[in-house]
Amino acid sequence: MIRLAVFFFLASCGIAIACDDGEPLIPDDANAPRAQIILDSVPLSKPFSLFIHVCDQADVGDLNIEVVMPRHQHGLNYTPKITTLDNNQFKIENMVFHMPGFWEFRVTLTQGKNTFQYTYPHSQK
Amino acid sequence: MIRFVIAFLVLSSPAFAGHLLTQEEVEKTLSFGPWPPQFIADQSNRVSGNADAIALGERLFNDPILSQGGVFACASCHNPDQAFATPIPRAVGRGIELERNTPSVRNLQGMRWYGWAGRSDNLWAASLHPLVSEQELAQTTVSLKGVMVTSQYAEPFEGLFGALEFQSPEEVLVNVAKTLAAYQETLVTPPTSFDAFRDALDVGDSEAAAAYPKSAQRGLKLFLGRGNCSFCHNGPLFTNNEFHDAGVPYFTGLNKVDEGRHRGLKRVLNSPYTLAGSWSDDPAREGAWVVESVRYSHADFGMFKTPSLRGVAETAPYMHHGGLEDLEAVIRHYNTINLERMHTDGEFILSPLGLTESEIADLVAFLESLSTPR
Repeated sequence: MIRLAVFFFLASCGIAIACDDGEPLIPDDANAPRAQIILDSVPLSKPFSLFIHVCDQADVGDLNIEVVMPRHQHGLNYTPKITTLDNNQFKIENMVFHMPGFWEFRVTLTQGKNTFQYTYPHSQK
Repeated sequence: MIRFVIAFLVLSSPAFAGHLLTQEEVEKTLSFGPWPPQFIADQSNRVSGNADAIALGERLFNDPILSQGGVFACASCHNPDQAFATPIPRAVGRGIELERNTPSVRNLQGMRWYGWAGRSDNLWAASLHPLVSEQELAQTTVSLKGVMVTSQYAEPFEGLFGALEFQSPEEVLVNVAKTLAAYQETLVTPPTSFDAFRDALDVGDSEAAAAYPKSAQRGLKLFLGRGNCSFCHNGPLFTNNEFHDAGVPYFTGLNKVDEGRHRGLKRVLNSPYTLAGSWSDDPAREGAWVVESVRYSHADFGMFKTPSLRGVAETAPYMHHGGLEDLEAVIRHYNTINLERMHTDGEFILSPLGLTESEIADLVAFLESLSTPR
């Protein structure tokens, strides 16, 4: 929680954050820019926030995020709110994991004419 | 050395700790508390937590004057002597059997959705709709204002909201609902024998933990494990506040269907009485994100809200249609659930549990402990 708060404060001030303060998103393309997810402990069935940081000089266009439970074949009940911050940083809010188990983050971002997709596994207790 | 190892194994075993749970199960059990929760005033309801509003709300809740013709009160269906519910499958309205089982109005503070279909995102809206439902209390805004003006409640009501003559009929409706909500927020079930067990685990009190019946402990292990109950029934309220298809029929009669969450969403998304609307007293609209970002799809058809299991042993019969007469029937439903009637593109969460008779009895014992006084 504190880590997220500090990250948000610095990002809101336009201060570039070193792109190593999170867990790497797993790209499906070797040419995809490195991207990180900053995610504190996630409460079950309660709203939470996270950050995504794309570690690249070139500007990111659109970023979209979906999270699914592959085994249960369902996704989120609420559309995440994405706020673009400075320096290719994004705040994602209104996330709710309403069940324990395996969730998979699926992130899509555009950079110029290119679209890159990433995944990130999360085990929710 | 061997004696040391044996001693270590004995002392660290769950049985010696006074319970049967693994460390992982202990951690999951702790997440079901503490209980009761700390009261947090509903910012969208300006009389939430107000002692005068709570007292007036209780009087209104029990008075048939709120219904057209003085036929019945909120308490007629949400009977205080019956866990604020009624022991019949489906509620009875004005000369008609309604679609669903009457839910208890205990432990409602701070939920994300209200009602089997989640047609309200706050408690005062959930209290408002029955007031003006033709099948229930059947008031209009005008008739309700007339009732309040001429009743013994005019003075205390005006003490909270100002002169009635300056309130529009719709404003009176909302304020009556907020008063009822202020009262219902205080209806909290007391700590149970499960909570005593949970608290004992929290502080490592093996003697207190051992007082919790072994059958209930075995039932808890099933609840957390093979039963998969905690997938949806989680947190201190034993509900994730969301909606699922539990394999329960949604036909309510010949050619009649209860759409469940699908209809609830249609209604809440078109309602002015939400946390995003102008009737909310919260200037920050903190809870508005829920109704503003909730997703609506055909998959919501036939889904119903995960009910809280707090006090569950007192609120038979069960499920949204009240079709399962007791807790054993509920477990047998999940034990042999018919996957054919689940949504074809729905959630593959449920599968027949295959519990033995003794396991069913243990799970019932656990569920009953959510009602047994501490």
